[in-house]
Amino acid sequence: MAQRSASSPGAADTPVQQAGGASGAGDLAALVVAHHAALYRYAFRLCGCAAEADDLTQQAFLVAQQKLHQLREAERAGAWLYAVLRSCFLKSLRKQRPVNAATVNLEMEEVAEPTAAVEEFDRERLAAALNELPDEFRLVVLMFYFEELSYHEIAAQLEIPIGTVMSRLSRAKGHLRQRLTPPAAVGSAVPRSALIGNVLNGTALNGNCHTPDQPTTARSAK
Amino acid sequence: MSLTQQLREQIDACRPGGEDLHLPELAELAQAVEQDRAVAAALDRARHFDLALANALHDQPVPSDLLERLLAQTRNAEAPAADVPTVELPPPAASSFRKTSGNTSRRRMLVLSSAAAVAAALAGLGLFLPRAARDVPRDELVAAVQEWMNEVPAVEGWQALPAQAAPAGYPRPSSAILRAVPHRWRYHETPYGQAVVFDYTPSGRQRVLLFVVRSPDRFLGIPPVNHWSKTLSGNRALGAWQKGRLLYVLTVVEDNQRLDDYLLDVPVT
Repeated sequence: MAQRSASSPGAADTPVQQAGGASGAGDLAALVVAHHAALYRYAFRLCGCAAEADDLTQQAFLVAQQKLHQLREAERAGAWLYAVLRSCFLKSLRKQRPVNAATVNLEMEEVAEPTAAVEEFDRERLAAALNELPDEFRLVVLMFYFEELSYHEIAAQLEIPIGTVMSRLSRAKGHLRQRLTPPAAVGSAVPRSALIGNVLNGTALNGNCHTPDQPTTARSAK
Repeated sequence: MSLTQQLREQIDACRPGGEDLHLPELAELAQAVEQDRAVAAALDRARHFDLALANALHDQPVPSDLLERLLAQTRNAEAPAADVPTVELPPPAASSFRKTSGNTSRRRMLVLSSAAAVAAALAGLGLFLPRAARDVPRDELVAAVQEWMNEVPAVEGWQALPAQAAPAGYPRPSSAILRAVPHRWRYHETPYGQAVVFDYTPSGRQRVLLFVVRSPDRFLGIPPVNHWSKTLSGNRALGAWQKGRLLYVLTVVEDNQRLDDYLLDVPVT
């Protein structure tokens, strides 16, 4: 007779979750198995590059291993790992270059709004559109979509004003709408080149990491 | 239609599927949605866009060997734990674009990088050595299987049965154990070894996949006769058993069907 252990939706499936906390490498292995894919995807979207995402994911788990005792709320393991990875990413950003957000000029009035439902996006265009965003805009929008944080929480995590978060979020999403929405589905469209130009003009974009399937984007256009 | 910048920002601040519209700080937007159909339509479009974009952002292939490398890193970093210097994790609330905190921060980064390099080197070394069999706890297997279920694509890489025969080293269970016939198969990399996935999904039903994994590992608590089953989140269930070096895992999305509809118990003599 087969034995069947039931668990409700969202219930604990890993030793860490069942124990209500984390204490050892076995627990971390379970976390790695459960969360490595999500963390890699977050890293990939942050870095825009497979090699950097790989490194960042490894670094995040290394730090997580050292700080595993900090994980007390089992159901927050995923969020905690996201925060660790984000912290590693921000450290690498600070190491690489300063970014002057004040010079970024994404004109709100010029950002088109989609007028039709969009079911899916072209993968390369999505990667390119993300990479065109300045780091601080991309970070906010990815915290919104990956970590599912509210703008209040994003502001608290980044220690920046709520208004700044709302502005960056809206401008970043506007840019993505502009780049990803088919022209026919866009309302008050503005020439794309103008918008991209605005992004490029005011940013110190980073990284020279390109994958073969990734088009050359603003990241390398210093 | 022309939205004010403030309303546009508030629309964009609403999380997809959330209840953000009830937040006090978005009261102005909530009121506008009730009074102005154009604003309501804009919010609706924004939510559709958010959902589509969220899905697209998560649709990114993961390197097939990443999990193995991370697990190797975990194992190797575990051994010299006493020698690993303490690296303070910045609070998640750390400012994103503050100036660097100076030498201390750089020193920590250096230590961390060194530790990572050592771990990576050890992990890399491990990849070139024959992999020793390991004991895999049931919970780890369950977590892994949930990843596999998400990773197997709907269309790419499938071979039709019976036209394209599956590899001989991955025999399917008999009809006395699994009461269905697969219609296609594909390869799938797992941290425990190469797998072949058979698709048993009946027409018009949710996914039913059988993973046959050839592995040197020992899967603790997975019986050789009959199967161990577990209900997972998302209305999913798995049944697993092992036979020699082969691990069998049947996964079923239990919408209008159940794992027991497919897996049969064999009388133990």
